[in-house]
Amino acid sequence: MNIAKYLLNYLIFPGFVFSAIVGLLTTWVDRKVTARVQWRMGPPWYQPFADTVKLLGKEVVVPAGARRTGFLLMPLVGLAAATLASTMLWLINLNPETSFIGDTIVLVYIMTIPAISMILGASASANPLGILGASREMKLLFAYELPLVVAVLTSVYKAGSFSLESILAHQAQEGIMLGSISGVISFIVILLCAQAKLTFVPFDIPEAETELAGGSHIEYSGAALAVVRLNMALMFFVLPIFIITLFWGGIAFTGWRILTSILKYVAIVVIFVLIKNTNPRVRIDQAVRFFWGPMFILSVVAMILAVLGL
Amino acid sequence: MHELLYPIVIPAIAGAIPLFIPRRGKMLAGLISLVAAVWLLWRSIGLFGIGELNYSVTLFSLGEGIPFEFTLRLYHFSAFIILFTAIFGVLIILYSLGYLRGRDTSSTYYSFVLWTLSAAVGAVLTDNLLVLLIFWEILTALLYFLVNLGTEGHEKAAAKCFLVLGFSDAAVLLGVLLIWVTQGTLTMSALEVSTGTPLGVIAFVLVFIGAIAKAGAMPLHSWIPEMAVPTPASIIAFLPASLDKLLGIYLLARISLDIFVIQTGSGLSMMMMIIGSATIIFAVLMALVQHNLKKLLSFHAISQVGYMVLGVGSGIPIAIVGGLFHMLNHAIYKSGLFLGAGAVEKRAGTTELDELGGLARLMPITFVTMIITAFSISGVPPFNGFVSKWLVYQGMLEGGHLIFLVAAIFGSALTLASFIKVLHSLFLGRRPQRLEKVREVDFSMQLPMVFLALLCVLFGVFARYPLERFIIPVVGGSEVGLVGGEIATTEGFWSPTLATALIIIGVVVGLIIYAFGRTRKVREDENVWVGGNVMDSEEIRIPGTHFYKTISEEVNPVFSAGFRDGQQGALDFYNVWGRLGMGLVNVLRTVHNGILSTYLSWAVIGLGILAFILMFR
Repeated sequence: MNIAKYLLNYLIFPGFVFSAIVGLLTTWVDRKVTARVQWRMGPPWYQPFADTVKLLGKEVVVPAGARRTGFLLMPLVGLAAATLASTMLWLINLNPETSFIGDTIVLVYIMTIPAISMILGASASANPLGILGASREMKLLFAYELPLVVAVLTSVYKAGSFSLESILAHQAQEGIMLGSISGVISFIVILLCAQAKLTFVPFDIPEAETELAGGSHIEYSGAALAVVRLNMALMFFVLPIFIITLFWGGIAFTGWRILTSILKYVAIVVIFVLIKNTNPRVRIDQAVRFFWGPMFILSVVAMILAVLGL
Repeated sequence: MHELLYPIVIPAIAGAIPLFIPRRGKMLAGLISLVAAVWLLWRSIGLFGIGELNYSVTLFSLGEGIPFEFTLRLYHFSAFIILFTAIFGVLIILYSLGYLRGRDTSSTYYSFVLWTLSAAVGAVLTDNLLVLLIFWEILTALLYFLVNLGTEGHEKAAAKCFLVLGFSDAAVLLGVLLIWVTQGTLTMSALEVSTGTPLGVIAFVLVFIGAIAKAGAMPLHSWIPEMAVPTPASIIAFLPASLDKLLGIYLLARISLDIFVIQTGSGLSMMMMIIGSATIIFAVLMALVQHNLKKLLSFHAISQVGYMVLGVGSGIPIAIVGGLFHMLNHAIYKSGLFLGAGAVEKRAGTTELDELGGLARLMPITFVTMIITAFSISGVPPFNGFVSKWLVYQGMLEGGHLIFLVAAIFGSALTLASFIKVLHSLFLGRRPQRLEKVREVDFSMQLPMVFLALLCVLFGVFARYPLERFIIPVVGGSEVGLVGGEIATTEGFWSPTLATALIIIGVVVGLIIYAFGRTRKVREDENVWVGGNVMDSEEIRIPGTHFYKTISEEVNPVFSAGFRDGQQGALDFYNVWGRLGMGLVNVLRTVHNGILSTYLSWAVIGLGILAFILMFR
């Protein structure tokens, strides 16, 4: 019966269907807030769903010289991994007793798979702009991964365990990670890393709409593009939850905490969107320098503070 | 003859046969050695089943009551190493049958491979440190011969291998002598040397040098990249990638767990962990900027040793389990990668990344096996590399070694980056016109690659079986619990089987989405969109070699200085020694300037000193 339960969790709630719906709704929040910042009206709430359905009806074009199977399969691998990450996070948050794969390191790893699949897909696309995007995405990945890992480990160190259950339990007993100096610093670091992980401005270097015309997803079309978009929506949903779990006491669907959970989530999403709308894009070498320099130092400072008990 | 002698003697005798077979009958020589290797595999499976066996004969006495014993001891650890030695032997010989066809290599190749197998089995079975050292040196000599079978540049590479490993063997000899002087015995199972005394520490460090030079950890790594390019790919897959890792880490585990007593968190343990994590980071940074596939892989062969040294050196049970499992996994995926590189070399005629591309369609088996092995080495779940690295991470957290933990995780990200470059340059990018007619390699070459890739998947998805059967009994700890398909530690648990199943289901869900869309009629377009220009295929081919140029050149002055020095060999002890020797020679050269009066004055000064000593004695 366990298998049926896991399957249901993975496919319906809190896995694929639920995450996709909330993820697409989140992209609507993004578009709406962006529109308001730019003094526009913005789309209605169902716009992302309409887009997805429309894309599914469009023709799929693969450029000559591309490695077709790899090109079309890679977005699916990313989708599967993002869904797995979402399922793991939600199950642990909703029911810490659940014997699901509950490990922070596993999650950090699984959350890199969508980016890797995007890189390999672009690399198979035979488009030089796509390949340029892929190479930038890879550089960006290992640039932000360093401070990200240190920031995550700060939380892990404070809880004294890798497992998300004990990180949540620790926060429930001794107050949220954000209540300490080291927690706040790590939170800032991880927010900026997540911004890069989502390839949002100022770190949308791999996509660089104006120069690379979409970069890593330049050649995707039709249903494949729909999956790529869905992928990004899922990650947009997973990352804030991950950050909330590590630093902000997690989420729950009981009583008052429903409201606070939603508020936490929306707050982080809005921070992402505001950073996105008020910054210009940086170059890839600037981004690498930023993450390996100030961000890394900041995250290490946070870790030292955590070791000192602050 | 005793049962334990057969696996050493039979391959050694069988190895003599190819010597009498001329170059043209190479295939026959190969088949004979394949039979010998299969016999060895069959025998080692039997020995693994037996579990424990001892054999001892006194060869001669070194003075009063000090017998020199030729002791063989089969127990769980050695049986497991021998089993995998034999598996790799069979796979490599099978692969060589196809790989050597059309190559100008004589049949003595197979002699050396079989003798290597024999010496490796001997080194693992023996219970006497001096006997171990003798087998160790036979291996060094055989490596020298094998590298010399390579193409252009092999002399220099072989000399370097011989010198670096010869130096480390000398260090082991000194260490062994020191142990003998202080302990009075060389029987490994009877030794328990304390590292509380300076002599104990020195002895440990000397033997440690031998272990890490064999495994290829920094700073004694430089022989591996040097030999990578000229040597046949099958040999790199056999020795530095698999067998030398098994042997080196076997010795490391023996000395740090059995022979010497090392406290967790002591200075020696710290030294090993620092060497381990430094190796991970520096070697992978060097790998990022390589342009030759074999050389790039060889730097990863160094980098991954770091995880093993880190795990075993920490002294924390779970990390030791991780380190030893990583040794096994590394042997599997790295020899798989080198075999793949050999397949590409065989068909495309080069391993320069700039000149390759788009082989995924033409060499699908090689592509799939290499993508699996590349993900394994990068530690992507659910493959085997992830499980062993994860165990090492758990151990590091348990011990509170956060710096090493960050180094290990970050090293993994860089490894991934480097393999993305490989996959792009070899298989995914645009195909150069020269390679249009490339075909997949023969079945005898495919089989070993497929087998190794399959092992990568199985050891990842069903990780508890190899852990239970091979690794955990070695450590004998109860800290790693295996509960119902999950690998549980005190810190966390991970169920690879479940996660894999879910990812596969996820891909199926994606395929269903595709089915809803109009994916059945995929249209192939002529041109890609390149800013509105029409360009031909050669013009827009981007090789992966410059992916990380930004990182190596612009980002960080410290890093770029490191890269420059690394390329010029500053991190290379071999060159440092070379320079020191050169400096010494130059000093002597200024003294020996060929002018008679200088020599005369030296003679007079010498005479004066002699007279002085003799007079005032």
